[in-house]
Amino acid sequence: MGFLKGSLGIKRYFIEKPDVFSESRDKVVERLLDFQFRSIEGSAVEEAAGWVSPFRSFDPKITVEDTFLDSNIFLAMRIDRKTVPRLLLSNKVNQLLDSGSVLPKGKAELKQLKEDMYRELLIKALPEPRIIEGVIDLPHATLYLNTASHRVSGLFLSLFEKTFDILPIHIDPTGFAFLTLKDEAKLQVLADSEESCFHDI
Amino acid sequence: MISDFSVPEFIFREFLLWLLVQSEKRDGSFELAGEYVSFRVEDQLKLEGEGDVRQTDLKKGVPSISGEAKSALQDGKLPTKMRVRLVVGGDEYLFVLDSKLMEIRGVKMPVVPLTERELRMEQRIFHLSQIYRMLELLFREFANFRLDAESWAEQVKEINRWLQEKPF
Repeated sequence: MGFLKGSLGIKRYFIEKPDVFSESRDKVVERLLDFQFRSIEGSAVEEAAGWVSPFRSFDPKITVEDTFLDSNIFLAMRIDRKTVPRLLLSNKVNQLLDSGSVLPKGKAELKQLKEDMYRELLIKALPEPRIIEGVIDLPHATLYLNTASHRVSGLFLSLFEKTFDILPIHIDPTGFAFLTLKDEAKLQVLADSEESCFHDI
Repeated sequence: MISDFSVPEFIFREFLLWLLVQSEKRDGSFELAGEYVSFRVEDQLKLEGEGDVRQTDLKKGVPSISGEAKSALQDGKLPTKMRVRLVVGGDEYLFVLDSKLMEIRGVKMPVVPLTERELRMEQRIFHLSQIYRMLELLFREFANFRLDAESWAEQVKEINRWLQEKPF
């Protein structure tokens, strides 16, 4: 698993009210299981995200032993995404039209035909899975997310919020300065500062 | 957690510039909270600013002491990304620091020679928090200068003097 080896791309979040993680460990895992990953293979769904075991990425079964590692909580979100190439879709639609088996009357029927074909191809398409890992450092109420992607981190946070009813706060540059200086007055002075000139002095 | 104002991005670009100059002047050696650490800019430096060419990407070699870097800085560009080698108590970290998000990417940390996953994870989290702790200590040192007009004016002069020095 990526967090335990290799290089990391980290986004950091602050969990303001981590009380939910003081619940019993079983209860936390129950919450994860409520949003465990469900396969979209063979269905007309473009994308699905859910929790999986951090150590067996393709296993939606989640256990307390896999999730709680000392004072850290280990999370893994699986996102499956299916795509239908536009070229394939128009080719299939054209084939159908050329065969004369369907004769759409007007734009609305043609649009419907394309949508039906899209759904048909989506059912057959194979999903592309991705695993995104997160670790909650409970003593520091910090969530570390191993991704540099805004879209993926957004999906992770959305699932996290649905699961635990809390939304972690991204430690952006201002958050970083706040956590470092721990003084709003100093932060305000920085916020009001003027840009320095290092050249042509 | 945070008030409804935000610290402008240029502050973090200035922080990266200050780090770059300090690491060159001090030969990478910093004393942070009683601990000696080494902080060096490695083989990647991105500078951004106004002008005809708004971005300078320097890779490979030693960008921090290159004429190209100084020239870009003299043109008013400031560092927005740099690859850093941080050594704390024998532990070596490599990562890219980004001023726009204050995030770290491509983080390489010491190999943890443990088989038990709990201990390995604990070590990895310790190393991550160590990197952030050091960055926070460095930012605190920078902010102490930046918040005091007189001290910062001295720092600006120092940076300007460094910029005027001929590259190796």
